[in-house]
Amino acid sequence: MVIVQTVDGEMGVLPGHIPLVAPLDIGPMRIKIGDDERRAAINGGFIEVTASQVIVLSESAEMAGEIDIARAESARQRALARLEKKQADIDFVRAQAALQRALIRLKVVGYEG
Amino acid sequence: MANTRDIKRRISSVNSIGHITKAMEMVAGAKLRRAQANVINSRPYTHHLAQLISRLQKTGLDNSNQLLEPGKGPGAYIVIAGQRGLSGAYNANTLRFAQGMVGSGQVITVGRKAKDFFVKSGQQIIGEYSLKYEAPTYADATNILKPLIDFFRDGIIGSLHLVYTEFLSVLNHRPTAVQLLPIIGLVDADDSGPYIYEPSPQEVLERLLPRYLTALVYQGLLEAKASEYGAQRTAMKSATDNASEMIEQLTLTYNRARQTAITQEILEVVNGAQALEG
Repeated sequence: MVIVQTVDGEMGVLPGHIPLVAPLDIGPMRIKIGDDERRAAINGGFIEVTASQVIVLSESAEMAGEIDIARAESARQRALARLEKKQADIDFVRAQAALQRALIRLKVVGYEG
Repeated sequence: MANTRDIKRRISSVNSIGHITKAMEMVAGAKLRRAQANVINSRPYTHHLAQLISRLQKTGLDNSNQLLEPGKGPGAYIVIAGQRGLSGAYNANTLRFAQGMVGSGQVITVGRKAKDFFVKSGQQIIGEYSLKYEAPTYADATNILKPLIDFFRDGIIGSLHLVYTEFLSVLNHRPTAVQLLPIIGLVDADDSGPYIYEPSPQEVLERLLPRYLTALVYQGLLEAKASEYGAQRTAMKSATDNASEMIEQLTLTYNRARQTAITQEILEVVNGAQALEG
């Protein structure tokens, strides 16, 4: 089973799911095989479900084991600092996305800041 | 015949040039391996996005999108070349090809060599970027493309092409041009039945198209970088080979000059001795 965060909300895909394409939000992905669960941080993109496979197309994706906690934590702090300053709107949007990415990474590795 | 000291000095200078080019060859080789891996890893992503789009177009639903329609206005060309020289004919080949493609269009240059070239030829440059880092990032592609998509939507430019050097193999690179806007020439999708598009096909397409363009530009940046390192390595390798060949030649000349000098000296001694006896 694959659970992803689409722009419309969380979606779970079980074997035999109908073919589907949906845009993804910045969010966690969980892959469950039996009792084994693997997590990844997805930075937006698309999910494509076909009869035999699930394809996730993303600009960047990291499995939990690949995430650098220290880096994600410092990215979170940086984004927070930028949000406090409240400069031009475009910076605000970018900082918000950066914060979102950092939070998802930390969440995926199960790190409570 | 040149004197032996001069020849010796030349040998040692050629030798140290050989050391430098050898080192540069190794560095380019290491960078090339990384760049090559990047190119190959990125290809399936681009290909898959293209497949998704053409599958969407086949559904026969309302797929109109401004990015798919021919625009009004002059054509624009993104030209990717190197940031510096010492890479054989790489920059010259790419830029000569680009010049032929661009015609009277507008240019967006990526890399210092591209900028210098088009400034000199008096082309209208509407954007310039430099690639400071070894590996281009996805963000680089986004930065380059974002204003251009807006230009196209606002009718400032009518079409957009990407000119770069395709990385076929370490020794084989080919300058190519692809049309970015309006989007055409997508791969043929496999017919794998109907799909559901959430939330709507129109919205999926709306999100897909800019990402696809960014992926194409990113791919172009990676291919260009790999080609540049390939050309650089080849150029440095042939420079190193030339240096060792030159050293061989010079050593031969040096030995001959030395031999001549010794013979000369012996003759003088013998002559002197004969003169004393006589």
